[in-house]
Amino acid sequence: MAPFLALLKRDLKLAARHGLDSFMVVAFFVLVVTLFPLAVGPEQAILGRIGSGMIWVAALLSSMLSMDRLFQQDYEDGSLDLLVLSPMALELLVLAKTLAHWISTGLPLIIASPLLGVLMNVSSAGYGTVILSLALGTPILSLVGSIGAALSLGARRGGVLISLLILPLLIPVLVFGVSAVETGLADLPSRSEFLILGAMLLVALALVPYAVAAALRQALE
Amino acid sequence: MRSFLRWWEMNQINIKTKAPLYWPFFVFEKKFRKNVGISFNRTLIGCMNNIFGTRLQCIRSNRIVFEDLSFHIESGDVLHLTGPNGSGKSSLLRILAGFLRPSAGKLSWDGASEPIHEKIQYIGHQNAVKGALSVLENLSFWLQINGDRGDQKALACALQTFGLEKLANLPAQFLSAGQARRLTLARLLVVPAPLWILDEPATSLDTASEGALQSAINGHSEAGGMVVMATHTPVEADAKVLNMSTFGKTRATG
Amino acid sequence: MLSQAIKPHAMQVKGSAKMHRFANPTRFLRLVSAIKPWATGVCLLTFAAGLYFALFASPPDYQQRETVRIMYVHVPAAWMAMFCYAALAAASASALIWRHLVADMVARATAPIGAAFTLLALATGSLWGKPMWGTWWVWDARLTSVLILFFLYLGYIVLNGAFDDASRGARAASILAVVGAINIPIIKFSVDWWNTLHQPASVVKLDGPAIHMSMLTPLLLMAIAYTSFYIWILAIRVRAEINTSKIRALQIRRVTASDVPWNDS
Repeated sequence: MAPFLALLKRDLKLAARHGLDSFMVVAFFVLVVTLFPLAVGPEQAILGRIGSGMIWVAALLSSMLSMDRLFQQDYEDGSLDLLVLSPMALELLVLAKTLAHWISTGLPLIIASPLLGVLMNVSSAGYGTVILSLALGTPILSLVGSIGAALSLGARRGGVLISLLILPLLIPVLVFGVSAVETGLADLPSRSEFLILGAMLLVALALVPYAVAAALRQALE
Repeated sequence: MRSFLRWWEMNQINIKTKAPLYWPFFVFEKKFRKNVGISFNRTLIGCMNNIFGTRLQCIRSNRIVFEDLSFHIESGDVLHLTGPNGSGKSSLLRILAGFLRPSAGKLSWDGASEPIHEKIQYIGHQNAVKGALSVLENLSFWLQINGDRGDQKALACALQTFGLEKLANLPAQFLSAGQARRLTLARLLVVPAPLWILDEPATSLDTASEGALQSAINGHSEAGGMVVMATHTPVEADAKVLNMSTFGKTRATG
Repeated sequence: MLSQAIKPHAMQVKGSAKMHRFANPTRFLRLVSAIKPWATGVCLLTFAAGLYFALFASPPDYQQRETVRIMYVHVPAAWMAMFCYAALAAASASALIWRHLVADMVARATAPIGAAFTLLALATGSLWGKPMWGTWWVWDARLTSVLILFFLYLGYIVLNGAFDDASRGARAASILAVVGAINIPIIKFSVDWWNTLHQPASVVKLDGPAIHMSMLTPLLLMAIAYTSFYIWILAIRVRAEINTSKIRALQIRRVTASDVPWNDS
């Protein structure tokens, strides 16, 4: 457990000292959502109708944006070698890194989302469901995204590559995230959507570290 | 009781290296650390007797780097790998650390076919130093990640050996290349392991630090440790040397 | 795409169990050469027969008229799109688990074929949609999930070619294929869910009454033709890949013989 916490602490410390990363992700998130009214027109009714979907798409894109940083630096400066060599199971270290990544990039998205709800004229009853669906969904984005980050280590054009590999795999999260918010807004029970999101999170939590660890090991060969 | 614990320990290592069932492992690890304690853990895994490599072959991007390479090291040995660029020094070191698999041939670490991570310290080309962290933070991170909690004595001692004690609180981004290398080498003393795998450890070191490195290596081998290092600098006449250039030849001409 | 992971010394090594796999490409090559003419023959025959039945010997649908004939091209293509991904995932998994060179090559050779079938299914589906639904594309559950499948193929192909060291690309792509295979049922389920939420009323359901024998015959013939076509192309691609790697091995050996610095010393 101690190595897990040590790695978590180190990554959070690095994220805090570099600082700009989290800021950039949130700025991109807000910017993308701002583009939509400019593209489809400022009509309040339309924006309220598509607002939750846009917030989710923007969250998806901006979490992909920061993904390539997850293992890249450790890979380049040789830290990854030592992490793999440490006595701790690599799967667990992967989880620590992903958790740190989610805290530094996913959490700010969740915090910023009600603001975007206001901008997009989502009815105030929906803020709770937007936050809850993002709280369940963004960890899945980070987890599945980390597979892409590990697979594209050392590849040409890593950043774009990750999105191409991972976005198709994240479609279920998008579908259930948005439908959770929409059924909530329509005053229908959205419990099943949240349960499915939660189930996907648990499955990802259980399986993804194995895939990432395998990918990291082969990246070091 | 002792033999039971030894068996437990071996099993635990197997769990870690071979079948990373990480959820149950979470629980095990905690219990084990509480009951047995770190120091015991360290003394038990603190030795390694021999490594045998038999007819190893390495292929990198469709090219045979070396083949038919056999060697063996025993406790107390310092093995120097020499040879020109591309002769496979780094590849052999990475095979020894378990990153790479030999494409043919056999390796045994104390009779086991997989290396045990606790027993290896690897220093690669890169320094694995984070610029945003201070020298001390960098070093204590590697201490923690290897399962030991705050052995401050070893930390201070390592910093002193490599002349870093005054820089301890400086962010590592301000270190010169040589100082960063020294910080990397200090890891050897902080996290003890019987097998040191060093890939050109003396890169960008000055003479004084080279001396410190040399005496660290000597001390390690006298204590029964093993060192395998790739080097460019000429080695002493009585040193154990593996000349890598002799293993690339056969296939190339044949 | 044709760059490969096969080891240059594949033909020389003999002996221990570990080397067993290196001998495999040669043995596989023999198998491929044996299968290829049969696959070619079956493919050409069933294609001819299938097309005859599909275009001339089967009745037009009472509702869809002549456009129903698109089905004989479209449905087997969609089948093959899924079959190829299954083959890709299975080959990738065995390449990962047993580090099997041939499995690697089969996976790499399958991907573009599967992608082509998927594209064919999408294109013919779109052509069929125009007369049926009055539009080239509808966001129907099946169309959408086939489109996503196409992206999965693209991801595999791109990742495979994204590395300077081809064998790294192969390993990374195999992991991706396995992850994708686990994810496909979830994607399918979520797309179905999404579609039932957003289903526009006008979409015609494709699965009408049980299919008549006169239509089933050409459909099955075409399915056999497509499958043997896949095997045929796969054989060609794998053989080409093995040969390319042999040539590369020879080139590398020539370079190593003349250029290596320690050779003269």
